Formats: sequence, C-alpha cells, structure tokens
Amino acid sequence: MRNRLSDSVIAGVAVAALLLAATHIAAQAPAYRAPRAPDGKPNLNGIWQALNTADWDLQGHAAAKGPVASLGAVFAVPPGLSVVEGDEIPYLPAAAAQKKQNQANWTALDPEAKCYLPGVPRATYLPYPFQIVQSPQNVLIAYEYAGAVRTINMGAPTKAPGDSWMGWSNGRWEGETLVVDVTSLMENTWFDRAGNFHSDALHVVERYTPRSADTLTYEATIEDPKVFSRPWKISMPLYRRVEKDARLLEYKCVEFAEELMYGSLRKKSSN
Amino acid sequence: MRRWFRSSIVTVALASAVVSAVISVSVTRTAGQAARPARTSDGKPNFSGIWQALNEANWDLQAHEARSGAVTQQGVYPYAYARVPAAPVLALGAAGGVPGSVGVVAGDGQIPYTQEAAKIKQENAEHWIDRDPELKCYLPGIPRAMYMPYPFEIVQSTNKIQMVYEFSSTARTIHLDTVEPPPDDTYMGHSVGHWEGDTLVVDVTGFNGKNWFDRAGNFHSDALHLVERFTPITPDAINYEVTIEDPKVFTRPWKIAMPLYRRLEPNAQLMEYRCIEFVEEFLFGNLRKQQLVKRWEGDTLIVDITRKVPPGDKLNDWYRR
Repeated sequence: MRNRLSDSVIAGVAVAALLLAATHIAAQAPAYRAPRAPDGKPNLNGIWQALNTADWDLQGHAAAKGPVASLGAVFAVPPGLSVVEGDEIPYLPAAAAQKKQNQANWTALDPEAKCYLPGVPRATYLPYPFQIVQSPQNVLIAYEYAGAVRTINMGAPTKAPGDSWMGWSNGRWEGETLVVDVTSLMENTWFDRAGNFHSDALHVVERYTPRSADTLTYEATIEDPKVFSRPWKISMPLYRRVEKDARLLEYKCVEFAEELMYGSLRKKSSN
Repeated sequence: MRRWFRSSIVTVALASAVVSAVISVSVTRTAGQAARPARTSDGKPNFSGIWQALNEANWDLQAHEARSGAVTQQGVYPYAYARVPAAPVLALGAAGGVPGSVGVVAGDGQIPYTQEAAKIKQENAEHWIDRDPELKCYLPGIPRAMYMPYPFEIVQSTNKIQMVYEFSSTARTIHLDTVEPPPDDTYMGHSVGHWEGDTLVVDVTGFNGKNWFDRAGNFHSDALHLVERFTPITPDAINYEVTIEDPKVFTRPWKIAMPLYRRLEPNAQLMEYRCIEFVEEFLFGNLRKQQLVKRWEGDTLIVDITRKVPPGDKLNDWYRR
C-alpha cells in the first residue's frame, strides 16, 4: 500500500513536470518547424503575397480621398495599421521635409506609377504576388509587378558590381529563418505611396520565418545614415496563395505608364 | 503489482492526454489571430475573427490579362493590346493598372448570361467609370462584399453570425434561427444559415438588384439567389464557395470559389472606410459653377473629373429609380 502511494506520488510529480514542460513550450513564441527542402533547410518555395495596406503607407493611416476624384471610392486610400515597429520612422530633419514634399506630390513622383522596378523591401508588400524558388546555392524571388526578380546568393557573401534597382542580396539560414542582407540599392525607389524614401546608402536586412504551413513572418531592418537617424524595423505576415491554380501572371507595366510619362510629346493631345 | 501496473498505465495515459491537450491548445494559440479555440463551445468551426480575400476577383470574376488601366482608349496603334490609360486613371500610371487573374468562376470559367443580359454586361464594362456602384460607395451587396480589397470581421454565436465589412462600414446578420422574412429588398439581402457538418451554408435572397459582382460590369437583378458555403481549410483559411442563380439574367446557376485568409497581425482590426465623402466630387461635381477640366499644359497633366451619363442609359435610370 505504502509502495503504491509513493509510486503514484512519483507519477503525479512526473505528470506535473511534463505539464510544466508543455506549458513552457507553449510560452515560447514560434515553435513551428517548417517542412524541409532536400538540403534540410526550411522549404519556402511557393507563391506568397502581403495582405495589408503597407504599400499605401508603412505607418498607421486613416482612410482618405484618392488622388483622382472621378474614381470615387475605388482608388481612395484604404485605412491601415502601422507595420513600423513603434510607428515612427526616424527621419533626419532635412529628409523629413523631403518626405512631406514627396507625399504632397505622390502621383507625379512615385516610382511605382512610372513602373520603375520596386526595390527592396517594397517589392514584398506591393499588392501583387511573388514566387520563391529555392536551391542550396541560390534563392530566386520573382515578383509579378514589372517582372522584377532578384537572386539571393546563399554561398560566401559576394560584393555587388554596381548599384541596381533590386540591390545585391546575400542570404544565410539562421535556424528556421532566411536572413537576407541587401545593399547596393539605387536611390530611385520609394517605400510606399506616402512618399517614404531612402538614399543610395540604404542597407536592408530581411528575415523570412515560417510561422505555419501557409504563412511567413517578414521582417526588414532598414538602415540609411543619409536619411534616418537610426535603424528602424517593419514586420508583417505574408500569406501563401492557396488557390489550387495559383501562379504568377504578367504585370508588365512599362506600357501602362507610357501615356503618363510621354503623353505630352503627342503631336496633339488625345485626351 | 498487477493492479499497480494498471493504475500507473492509466496515470501515464491521463498525463499524456493532458500534455497533448496543452500542446494542441498552444499550437492553436500561436497559429491564430489571438488566443482563440479552433471550435466554439457548441462544437462548430470557429470563424470569429478578421478575414480578407487575396485575389483579383473584384476586378473581374473571370480570367483576364493585366490591363493598362480600368479606363483605356486607343493609343497610337489600333490594337487592343496597345490601348493606353484614359484621363481618369492616367495620372496613376502603373499604380492604376489592372492585375491579371486566372479567374474564380468554376467549371469552364464562363458566366451563362442570357443574350439580352450579355449585351448589358458588355455595355457595363464599356461604361464602367459611369456605372459601377462601387465608385459611388453604394453598399456592396453579397457576394461582392466578400472579395473586395478590404477586410471584414465575423462574430459568431450559436443562433446568429454577424459579418461586418470595412468598405462603407456595412454589415449583415446570418440567421441560424427562425426569423420573419424581411419587410423589403435591400443592398445586402437577407441571409439564413445552417450547418452541414463543418460547413456553414447560407441562403441569401431579398436583394434590391442595384449591385454588381465586379469592376468588369458583371451584374444581376433583384431575383438573385445565392447559396454560400464556408468550409474551414485550416484555422486561418476558409474555402468560400457561392452558387449564383438569377433566372432574369442567367440561363443556369453558376459557381465561384476562392480562399479567404485570416488577417494574422496581432493587432488586426477593422478600421473606418467611410467613402461617402470620397465620392462627393464624383457624384455632385457637375453642380460646381466652374467644373474642373482636363488637358495637358506643357508637361503638366490636368486631370478631368467630368462624369458622363450616356443619354438613354436605362441602367442609370434604373439606379436612380
């Protein structure tokens, strides 16, 4: 009898210990382990898209009238919560003035309207899907918007031959997370339609972490000593397009922007 | 000894059950929008939360290629593919382009219009800028409210399910219990639901016929009858299917299907998108003493905001009725 009692006490203690262990696991944030690619790394292959209003404005913003009255409620600004940690973008004073000016003239100045390549990180949260194709040596990201692509070198870090729209990406795995260091970005891209901008000194560190079979957490730390007083961070979920027939389609927009950019050169205005 | 053995097996089994329960709760918690069980207390799938479609259905339910803008005109070359954006969307450049899509219409991808209705659809597409109820901030109706590019919130109880939409702050109640029929037709219709296993089935009627399905001019009449089916794929995704029936407009029922996604931001919430004020210039700008005009002045583009109503536009008269 006595033996049985002490045994069940031991069993009880064991249960409590197991429970404690379980709750401890539950308390630690991302316990998710992604399915593996053949090389044993998390498998990020697939078609992904952001589902937020970050391309309108990284910071929290209310709904507002759009730039073209005749589009009524269709192209008005949808409201959105901030994707910026702390909701503050630490502009230097001169840059803050520039940002305001950009915002006041966004349809005239925004590189997105002109179909310039979107740069990083904006390509990630444009309202178009993108596809990740992964190999041990390289990770390719193809974006629907403007047919933009970037190759992330997963080998020993290499140096950019020169500046480019989509920058120079060196990647590495940190456990479940794909970490990408992006430099050599041109200064001609923006972060959003609210006029948030950077210089050619932009340095972005991106982190792609699987959070379930069909979602990723995307984080980007943004550093640019010519424009910002300190590094700052954005984060958002990315969603796998789960339609059975999901695929990238063409959004080759150079032609879409021709009339806007060169319409004034017509012999006689067609409008 | 034997009894002890049995009781310890029971204890271990109990312990492992408790542990796995704790683990499964923790998995649901990390995957969800907030702490939220996958099922409600009455055992149904828990759809409560903030959802949004992630596709191009609001541009056109059917498969379509990317276009230079929602309103286009002939460019230098007389080919369809070389059309250029027209005045209202020209200033938006590539930001105002229409993204392509593989379509959400099931089967052969066709919408079975009657001959007469097919003509109206074609006219609607050509006069989109003058006619689409979305431009005017009308309540969007069902199913369009489900795949507009704005989130909506589901609040689920045992006898009612409320769906609240960010676009123009509209809502509908799905009645799971017995209710009186509505006194009159409305934009958002009358929704009556029931559960078929894990699928929420909603029968929607009582539409006033003033809504469209998309920006491509797809439309219906007040005889519209929908059967919606909401089936969980994962705790964070719903398969949404709608069978669409309208004998005044279509020759047979047809179906659309798409996933709906849970907005996963920890602080996800509906914000205001009150668009009435956004469309005042659009709807009433013609009452200005001096109307705003459009032209090139050197490099400067002055954008038109004139809104034409084609003479004898029956549909417009019908809207104004």
